[in-house]
Amino acid sequence: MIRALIVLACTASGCATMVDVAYLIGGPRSRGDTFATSHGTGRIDHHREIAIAPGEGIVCRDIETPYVTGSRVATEERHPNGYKTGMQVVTALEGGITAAVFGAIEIQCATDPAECVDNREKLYLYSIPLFADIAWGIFRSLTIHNAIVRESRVTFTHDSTGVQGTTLASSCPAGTEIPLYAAADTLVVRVGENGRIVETETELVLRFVIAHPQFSVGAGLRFDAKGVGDFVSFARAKLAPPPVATTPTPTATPPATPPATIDVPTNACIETPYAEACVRVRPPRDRPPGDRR
Amino acid sequence: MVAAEACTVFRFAASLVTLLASCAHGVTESNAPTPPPDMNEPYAGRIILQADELRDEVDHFASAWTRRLSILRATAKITYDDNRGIVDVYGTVDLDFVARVLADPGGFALEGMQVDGDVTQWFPPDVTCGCSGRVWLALDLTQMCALSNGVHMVSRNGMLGEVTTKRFWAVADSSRFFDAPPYPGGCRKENEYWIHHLLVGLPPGASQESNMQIVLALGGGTLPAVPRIASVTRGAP
Repeated sequence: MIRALIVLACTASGCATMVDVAYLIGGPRSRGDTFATSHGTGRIDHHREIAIAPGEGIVCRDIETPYVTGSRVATEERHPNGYKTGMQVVTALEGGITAAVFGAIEIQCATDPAECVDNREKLYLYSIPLFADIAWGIFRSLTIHNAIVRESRVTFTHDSTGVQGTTLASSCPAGTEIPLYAAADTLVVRVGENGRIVETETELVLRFVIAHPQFSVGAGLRFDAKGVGDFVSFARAKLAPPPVATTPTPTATPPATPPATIDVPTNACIETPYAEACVRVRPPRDRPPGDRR
Repeated sequence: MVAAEACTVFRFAASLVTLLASCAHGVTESNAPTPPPDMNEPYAGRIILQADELRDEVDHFASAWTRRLSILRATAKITYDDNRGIVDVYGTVDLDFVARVLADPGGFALEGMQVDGDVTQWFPPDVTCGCSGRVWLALDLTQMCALSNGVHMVSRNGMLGEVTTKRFWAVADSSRFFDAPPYPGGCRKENEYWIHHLLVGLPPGASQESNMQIVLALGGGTLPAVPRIASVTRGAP
């Protein structure tokens, strides 16, 4: 009986019907997989890194990469006469979009008949299969049996290697010293609050970086050579003098070429080897007064 | 004007069907347990739990039971048979303890807020933490926003333990989690960053059993009803 109804509804091909077609193909059993609690293998890799943070500049972070064993929870369900959740979600989408589209058409026609869609009656006539599909979706959403949960399995991979976990990045403690080495020059800077370089030393760092683009960082720190160029670019942009606003006189002749100014983009992206790839210079309104970070 | 009206209609329709969808929930049926399958680990035994509410609230029971078993690091298979949950447990575990854990109603609070969190990772003590272990705890975003970094109490009819929590943010297009948002702005910024989890430090010097109780309290969920332990059978049935 239900299959006959499904075939009947297939004549009005639509999203809701497709869920039933999927049921006929996929069958009544389904298995859902999720992650369970992973357990650490005891190995946690640590390193310290200086990086460019979005809108912040130079920061110091302690990075840790834990290793964990894999784990999964698999739950098996039986669907006696269809996928209820799938049918409800698809019907919601289809019904919602259709209601919005036809609602907009009706409102448009009511407010401005001159701008009303042509052949409105035919539009509704042609949409009958769609309405039938929505009606079918609502009927099925109400009549499909709830999923029957049969069994769950909790499994672990007890291998000794484990799988790499996601990296945690914590700010370096305030007062941490970061040595920057150049050929004949060394600069030691201190970390302030939230891993950021002490504000009074920031300009010193940026000038050092511009003067010594080939600098290296202290032992135990990571700063990929590829990132140095970006770091210098960032430093130059940060130290660039603000463009001077000039008031043109009414008689002034516009120059043939625009004056050379260093433009600090408000949303510039700089490729770095680190995760925080974008340097976003936030508009001042996003920050509390006095916050120069 | 037209777009706004259409949007309202769409929202109304969507919320109506979302309401409808909320009625969908898992149920159980008669499902006699089969002999325990080979799961690449020694078979420990079978626990049978019984609760009439299991028939209509199996989703909640299944969620809490699987989370608890994964915290216990116990490989297991649960068969839902009408009002019974038949748990085949593998590995070297204390079956009585596992049964007590599965039958616990839950309902613990972290700093006065009911916790129904998800413990996604559990790490042993590390040189940097000054603790007896660390877990990643994912809570409702509102709850995580409300919890400042620091010491918080885990309780249920009295204190169970004190833990330290530290918030970690996820940033779009990054596989790292950061202990501060990328720029000032609160708990979340749409499509840019959001609080992902709390890094919970377990009390220094605490025993493994004590830590297990705390982690189960944080991530073991709450059962809709207290199940009865019908039987605990060691070895093959």
